Amino acid sequence: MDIVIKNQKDYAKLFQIIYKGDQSESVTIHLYNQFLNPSDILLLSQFIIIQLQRIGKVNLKVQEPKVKDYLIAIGLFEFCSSNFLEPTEIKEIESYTAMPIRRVNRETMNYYISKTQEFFQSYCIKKDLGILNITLSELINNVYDHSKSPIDSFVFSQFYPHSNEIKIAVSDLGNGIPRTVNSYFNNKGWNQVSQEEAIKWALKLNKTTESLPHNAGRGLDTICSFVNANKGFWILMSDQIRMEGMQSQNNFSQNPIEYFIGTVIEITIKVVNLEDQEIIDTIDWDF
Amino acid sequence: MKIRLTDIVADTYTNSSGYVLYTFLKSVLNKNEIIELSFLDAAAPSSSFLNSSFGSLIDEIGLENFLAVVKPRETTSTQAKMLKHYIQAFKNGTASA
Repeated sequence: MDIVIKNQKDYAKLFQIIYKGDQSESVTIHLYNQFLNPSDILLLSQFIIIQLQRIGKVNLKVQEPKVKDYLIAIGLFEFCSSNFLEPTEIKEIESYTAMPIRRVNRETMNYYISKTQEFFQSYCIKKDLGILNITLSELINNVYDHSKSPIDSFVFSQFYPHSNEIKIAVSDLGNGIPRTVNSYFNNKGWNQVSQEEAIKWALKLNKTTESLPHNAGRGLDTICSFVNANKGFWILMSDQIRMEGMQSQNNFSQNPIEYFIGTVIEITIKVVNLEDQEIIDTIDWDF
Repeated sequence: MKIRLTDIVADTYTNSSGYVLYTFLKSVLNKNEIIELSFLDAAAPSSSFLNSSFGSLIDEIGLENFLAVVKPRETTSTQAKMLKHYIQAFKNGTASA
């Protein structure tokens, strides 16, 4: 089966195959995109992993030479290899100022985040990159606390020197936020809500589906606060909803990718707005 | 008593590490000393880590007592912001771990 990908909407073809669970046919992806964001990289990676698990083979043909060079460098083609084993050690991709695509879980999260911070610090001299620690750990924790993803969480991050931005993306193929929230509502005997309302509920401080005893529903609220303070922006896609968060406003729309499964979140951090590194001896709580 | 966070926990992201800090703080609280907790060389903490450490302790002894006894020291700007963001929710009376 040949699948043509020219824009974001076309990822629906990949999700449709995952959704139907078709294990009979080998897939060849023909990629025509001129540019790929970190979230694009993860959506492709997820599909490839699922296909490899199901039928042991997937082909990726990239039409644009520059895009092909990029995908080779960041290791996407290695994922296409059926005998690929993720190396324990992370090697940064200096030619594209990127970290390699990784499947990250709670055991490897600390290593991945510290390597990412260390690598980007060399491009963001004297900048306080603590926002990376917070956003990445919140996103990865969310996958493990809520999503029940069959493939762990996928992570990809890159520094863009021209725009002076860092983009990080985390994805999973789990239940998605709307379904998780409505399942919780159902267990509580509460009325079901629309997918948009479910995500709005999850974004509010201290709203939690109580998936763990110490889960207090602060992950998404924390991400929102730090991204707003940085004047950055974030895009969330989960089930049928797409949300774009910028300057304290969250705009919701229909997810352009039909059959979407799970959640992908991409955060853009403006390096120029990060504070300089400093040590504060005492916190003034100033309530 | 001055304690360095990196001497107590391996990371500042997970509930399990947060619980290690909570257990440690509980054990030294009995000595009736002010605990100066240095964040030097530690990563900015996640809300999961704080829920299982500070949040659990605040639930037990109350915010006022917690702030009187546990004093974060030597933080980065982001760490300070995260701690303020976290504690502010308790101050507003909207939080429960």
